Amino acid sequence: MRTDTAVEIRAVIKVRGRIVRTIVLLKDGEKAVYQVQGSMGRALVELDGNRVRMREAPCPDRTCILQGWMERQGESIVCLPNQVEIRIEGGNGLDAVTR
Amino acid sequence: MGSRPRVWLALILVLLGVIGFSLYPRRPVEYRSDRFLMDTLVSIKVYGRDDEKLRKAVAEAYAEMQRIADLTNRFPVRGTAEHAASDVCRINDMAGIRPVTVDPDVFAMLERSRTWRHRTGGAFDVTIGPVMDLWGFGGKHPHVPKHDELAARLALVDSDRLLLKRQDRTAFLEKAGMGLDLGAAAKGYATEKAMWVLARNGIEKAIIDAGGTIRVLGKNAEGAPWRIGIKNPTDSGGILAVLALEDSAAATSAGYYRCFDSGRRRFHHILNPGTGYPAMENASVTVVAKDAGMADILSTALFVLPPEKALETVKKLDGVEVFLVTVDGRTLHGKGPAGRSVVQSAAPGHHAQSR
Repeated sequence: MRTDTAVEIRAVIKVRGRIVRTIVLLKDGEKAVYQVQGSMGRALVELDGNRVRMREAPCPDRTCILQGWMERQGESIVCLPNQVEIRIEGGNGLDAVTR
Repeated sequence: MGSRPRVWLALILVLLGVIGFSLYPRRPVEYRSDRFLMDTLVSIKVYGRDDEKLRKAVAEAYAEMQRIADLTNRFPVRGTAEHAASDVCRINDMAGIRPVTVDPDVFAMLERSRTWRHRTGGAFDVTIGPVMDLWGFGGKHPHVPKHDELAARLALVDSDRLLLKRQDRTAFLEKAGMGLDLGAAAKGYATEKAMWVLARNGIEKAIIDAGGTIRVLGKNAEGAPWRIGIKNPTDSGGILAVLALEDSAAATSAGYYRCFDSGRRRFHHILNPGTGYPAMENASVTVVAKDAGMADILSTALFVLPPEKALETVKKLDGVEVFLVTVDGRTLHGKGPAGRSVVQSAAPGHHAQSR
């Protein structure tokens, strides 16, 4: 199942619908934490090789953080209060994820 | 003069090239749009030849979803235009007073909801409103209610006292204090209607992702069935299995959304209409069905049922398939008659047990 590595997979971070950063996801790739300024305040997006997650967010419900790590095309984390969205694109992976 | 034929040959080749190029079908274009609707992000992706037509179709599909959202919105403040536009608000306000004429789509949702209540032995009930309010789901401070308060509200949950008159298209909650909540039905219904709008506009290839409730039309851009992942509900995250879908829908109900911690327990918003407490046996239930409205309602109903009962129920449902993860980590899979398996692959470490 995990053979869809032919095309690069990216995490696209948007604030209020605008792309603010694109990160390439690579297996055994680097670890990093990116700061994103949302509508409510600062959010931290964490990269761990081929996966990303919302590590910190100023929203009250923390749903975005509870969603945990994601790595497959079509997966997304949307923080409605802070208007920050992380979406995995590219690859030969999935069209969408039911959740 | 030997170069003459060469000139002609070159000219003919160029002409053939021009003709060939104009006859060659243009590549299908993709048009994608995202919008916040019904408390979630709705993504619509369509394919076709004419960009302008695609834009128009998608705009109409969003308008249809917005219309259903407005009709079923339970939370607008009394006296506002939003409140007046909501059939659900009007029905709830007139509980115990008089019947209300409603939109045909709202009537259809209520009729279907009642049908599914019967077919699932009461695991799904749209009159859960008063209990949802008591828990405070939808508000800022959800909390565990006192037992006697809960018992009082639970007495108001009873779809038998929701009177639907088809000839007048009216709905009436017989007792004051009763209240509808279409939260588990409206999103799927709206998604299905939006797909009809796209199809009516001549679109043959589309996907709607309404916050994880998925409806697909035709095949994907590569001409293969759409590949839809099921989110792993456990802490390790990622994808549990991949579904291969064509002209069908998938919806998931899970305990990881709209939840809060109290004491050492986690409480989520999918309440058992029989007890008034969150259903605690399943971590997530994914339903595949022809219709997104049906998938949405069924995922909630089956989430509330004990796992074995959920599989039993699906066995009787034509073309329905369920993928269920229990809180103790079992992954179960079941399907009804004529339901061909759409589970394409399972993630390593998980073994689906077929029933």
